[in-house]
Parts: sequence; C-alpha cells; structure tokens
Amino acid sequence: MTKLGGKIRWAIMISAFILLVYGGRFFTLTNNIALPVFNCPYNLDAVIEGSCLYITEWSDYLTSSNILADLGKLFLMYGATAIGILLFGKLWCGYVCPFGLIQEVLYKIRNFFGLRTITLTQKHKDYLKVIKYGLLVMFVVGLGFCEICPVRFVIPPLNGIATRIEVGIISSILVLGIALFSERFFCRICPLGAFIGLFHKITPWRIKKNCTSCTSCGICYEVCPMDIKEIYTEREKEDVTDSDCIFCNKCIENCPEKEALSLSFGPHKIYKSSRKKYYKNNL
Amino acid sequence: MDIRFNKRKERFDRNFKRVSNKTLEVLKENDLEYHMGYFYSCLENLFVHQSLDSFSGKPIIGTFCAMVPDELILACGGQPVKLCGGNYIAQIAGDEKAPRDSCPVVKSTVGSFEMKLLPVYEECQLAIVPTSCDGKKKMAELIAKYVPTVLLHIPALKDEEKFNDITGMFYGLIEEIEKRTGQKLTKSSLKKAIKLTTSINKEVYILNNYKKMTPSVISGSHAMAVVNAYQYADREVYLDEIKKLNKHLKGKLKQKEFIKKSPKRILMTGSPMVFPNLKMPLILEELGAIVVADETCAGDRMLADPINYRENSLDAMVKGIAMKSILPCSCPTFAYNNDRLFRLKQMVADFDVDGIVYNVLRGCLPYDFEVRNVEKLSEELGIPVIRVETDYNTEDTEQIKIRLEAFTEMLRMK
Repeated sequence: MTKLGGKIRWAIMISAFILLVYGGRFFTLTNNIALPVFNCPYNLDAVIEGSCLYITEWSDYLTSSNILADLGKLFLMYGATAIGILLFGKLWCGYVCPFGLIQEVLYKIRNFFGLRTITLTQKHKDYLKVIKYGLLVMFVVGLGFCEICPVRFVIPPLNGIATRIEVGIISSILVLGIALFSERFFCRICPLGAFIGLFHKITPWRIKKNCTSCTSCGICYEVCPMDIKEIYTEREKEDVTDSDCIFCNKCIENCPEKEALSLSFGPHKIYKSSRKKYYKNNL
Repeated sequence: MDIRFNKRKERFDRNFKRVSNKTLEVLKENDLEYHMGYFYSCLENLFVHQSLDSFSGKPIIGTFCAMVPDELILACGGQPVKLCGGNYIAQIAGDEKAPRDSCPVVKSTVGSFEMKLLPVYEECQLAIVPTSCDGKKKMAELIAKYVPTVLLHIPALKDEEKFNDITGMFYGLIEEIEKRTGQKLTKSSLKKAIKLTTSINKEVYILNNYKKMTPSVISGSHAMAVVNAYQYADREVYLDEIKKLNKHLKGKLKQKEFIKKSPKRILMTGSPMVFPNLKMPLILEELGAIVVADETCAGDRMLADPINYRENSLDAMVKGIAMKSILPCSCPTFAYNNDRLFRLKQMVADFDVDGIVYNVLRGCLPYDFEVRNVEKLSEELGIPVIRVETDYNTEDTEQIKIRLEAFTEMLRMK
C-alpha cells in the first residue's frame, strides 16, 4: 500500500464512475445505500446513489408520515452517508465523485490541446468562497438546489436519460465551460464538498508535512486545483489538511522532497513523496 | 602603453593558467579511478587550453548566480556558461576596477573582462546578471562596458502572489536571448530543454546519493568538480558523461572500493566556490575529512531543485522556470531566509554530517550575516561549525590548514 496515488487513483475514479453511472444496467442492489458524492438520483441506473438529494430534501424524507415504515431504508441512506463522511472525509471528492472525474477529463482535454488556463486572483477566490457558502446554506436548508444543480444536466444525459430543459442547464454549461479552463472549478463552489469539509477535522485521513525537508519550492501550491496556500507556507505544524482539500494527492505526486508531504490514515503514512517518485512522474 | 598592456596580459594569462592547472593537478593526483576524464577536460579546455571546443560553435550566453535559468538559453539554441570568476589572478586584475572591499567573485569577473583572460569573456554575446547581492548589481554596471548586459530582477522577498509579474520578466529575458542567438524559443524546444536539465538534475541527485553513503565511493571535492564542470559543458554531452560516471560508481560500490574507512563528514556551506577555487574542500580532504554535502551556489544548490510545470503550455513552463529559479533558492540575498536553515538541517540529517565548515569570502556580506543563524542552528543540532574567512589567495593556505586541522581533530575527539 505504498503507491496509492496517480494511476491507482484514476483506476478507482474510473471504476467508480462506471459503477455509479452505468452500474444499474448490469446488476441491482435491493437495499440502496447512498454515498456522499454528486451522483444524480435522476440517473435511474445508478447502482449506488449519491446522497445529495437526501441531504438537500431532508424535510421530505425525515418528516414524511410513514417515516416508521421506511426506517430501515432511511437508516441505510443517512447512515451510510454519515459513516462515509466521518470515515473518509473528502476522499470521496478526489477518488469517487463522478462529476469530479468529468472535470478532470475536461482538464486533460484542455491540457492536451495546450490551451491557456484562467488564473484566479485572490479577489475571485474570495467571491467564490461567498458563493460556496451561499450554495451550502441553500443546499442544507433545502431551497431547491436541484433546480440549479449543474450535475443534474450532465450525469443523467450521459446515461441517455433526458431531463427537462430548465434553468439548471445554463448553470451546467457555465460550470463545465469554466471547468474546461480552470481545473476542477465546480469543486471550489460544491456545496456537498463544503458540507463534508465541515467535518474535516475529525476524519482520520490527513495530509501531513515534514517542514524540515520542505524547500518551499511552491510546486504543491502550483499544482493544487483548490489553490490551498497553507500547504506551501506552513513551516511549523505537521498537519496541513485544509477543509477545501479534495485529496487529489497531486501535491504528493509532484513534491520532489523526501517525505515532505504524505497522505496518512491515523498514524500510518500511506503515500509519501520522494524524489524517485517525482522523476517517475515528471520525466 | 599597448606594449605594457600586452606584457601585463601575458603575465596574467600565464599565471591564470598556472592557478587553474594547479587545482586540476591536485584533483587528478587524488583521483581514485573515478573515470572523470571528461569533467577534467571540460575544465581544462576552458581554463587551461583556453579553447571553446566543448561548445561546438553555439552562441555563448553568460550567466551569473544559480538563479538564471539555463533552460531558456538552451531552448533558444544558446550555450549557457557561468561567468562567475574563481581565479586568484583574475581577482588581482580586477582590483583596480572594483572597490577594495568588494568580494573576489566580483573582482575576478571584472578582471577577466578587463584583461580578456578567457575567450568566453570575449566571445559571450550577452551576460545575464540577476539582482541578487549588491556586488552583483553593481558588477552588472561595470561589465556593461565590455559586453551587452541584461539584469534579471530577483525580488528581495519570495512573494508567490506576485509571481505573474515575475513571469512577465522572464518573457522579457527570453526576448533578449532570442535577439542574440537568432533562434526563436518554441514550446517544444523549451520542453526539450527542461527535460534535458531535469535529466541532469536526476543524475546529480544519484551522484549525491553516493555521497550520502557511509563509507562513500567518491570524495566531495571531486563531486564538486563534476558539478562545477556542468557550467562549462555542452549539456547533452554532460548528461551522457555523468550517466557513465554514475554507472562506474555503481560498479565501485558493488566491488566495495570505498574511499577512506571512517572519515569525519563535513558539510560545506557559505560563499560560492567556483573552479579553480576548490581550496577549502581540498585542504579538508588532505586533513583526512571528507566533504559529503555541499550547499554552495556554484555547487549542489544550482542543481538541487527540479522544474515542475503544471500544464502543457508555454505559460506554465515559463512560470515553472521562474518559480524554480526563485522560490527554493536559499541564497542569503533574500530578506528572510529561513529556507536555508531548514535545508541545512535536512542536509545534516540526510548526509550524516559531523561538522559544518562555513566559508566566507572576504567582502561577501550576505553570507557573513547568516553565520549567526547557522551557529544557532548548529548549537541546536549539537554539531560544531567553523567560520573561515578567506579569498582566492593561496597565501593563507597554511593558516587555514592549522585551523581546520584543529577542527577535524576536535571532531575526532568528540
């Protein structure tokens, strides 16, 4: 278990994508659990549903009259989500989320053609933070986030399920368009990610930094799709996990210094940076 | 007047060769079958035979310090050559042109230009001077009389937020280089250049790993000469040769042909040590210690950090180069330079260091300022440090030898 990054992450992401989006065509689970990823429930073929709908429309599910009859089902849905969030935190974003994969593929396409990227300034980032928490409130209170959700007009059509033309289609075109030019743009404003991020302090998965071996070359900050600066400026603390971190592990893959950055589960360091890995990834 | 100048130049030339040759002789004498022929010939060609054969006719672009990115020059079809002077004779030649208290690097560079001591100084099309220390800044003004000079602005603070502006400056530099070499920089040529330097960087890293071993298979001064030769070599040939060297060292490791059994391991840091001024490491090795780690800017620092670019675009590559040139650089000319202390701390652990030798060239203030910080660090780590102030002059060799002998003796007693 020393190489969890790079190819293994892509393998997990692609298989999760196939399973989550097209899985229902091959087999069905009788008891449906829900995972904290953006996998639209309007996609009827999903073998495992995303819990986004159940979080945003909790009032429909938790206050319905036959709540006792559905107790088992509700427990599976909300229980699996809660355990998933507490145990894996934002690892869902970097490893499982199907919409995350779509964005990364877009990024790869743009990179292939060598198009220019948009560099976001600090001002943009501040605005995006406001939008993110605004969407989070909308999402948790249940003000019909699904109506403007960009995922709804991306994932179901990918599986050949037509959705009604609504306002949301504009947001999905907008988000995908920006994501083409700015890596994982939606993850910056994703309300589900922000929701999981609220619990980031108690998850056992951490990004750790050895401040002595760090040369502050800034590569981690440069490759970070979320532009987390602390990982580069930190010079004292060992734990550099940020609530925005989506665990894409790009910083660890690209860090040239010996064990300067590592992904750890509790006290165990699972994926460490090293010069050897750096040359493997970059030469 | 002309005759007098010519006579003087002849004398300087003769002595210049003598000094360069002496260092090479000592290196060759202590060579334990390292198979370093190519690296010696690189240095010999340039400094003793005074020929430009190793550059195969490419336009020569002079650089200074560790901050000027060679990749941009290589991508424009030029040959980067470091012009920082290390020769005592050139220092004497530069004495009149530069102020008395300026450092020997500046003096010997100016002297080399003034007396035309090496053909590279005459042939070079452009000199790129980073605004690192005050000496280098004012030196740019002095050498502008002899060669077209361009300043590369290095900020005094490492501020990553302003990096987009800094990247713009590197584009300006590219334009200047393109004008001199007559070849346009393209995405593919830059990519190729970055790949070349990253490959060299990797080989130097492997070479450093041999130095980390106890017992070691290569002595520090020889490794230093190998890295020094990088600045004066055709980069593609250099890559092949250093690969061969590493292969050879691997063979030596298998046959257990180690140098000395249990020498005291020294970390060399401080002012730049440019060939032929390898005085300090050679003295240390004569005294039975070995220089395992080298944190000087003409040595390992120059090749310590790799370039990373995030995307497949020219913008990203230039930004990656700009970041590599400035952010991890531990030059004391940056206002806050904690990075250097962290790096030294890591090196002490990595290379299993017994003592630190801090070389201060006379007049090199930024390094002298940081002695205090390094002393504090060494106290914290329990590793002794000695500050040695000297210049390119060899007259003080015996005094330095006595001090370093006492130092190594103390390390042995510890």
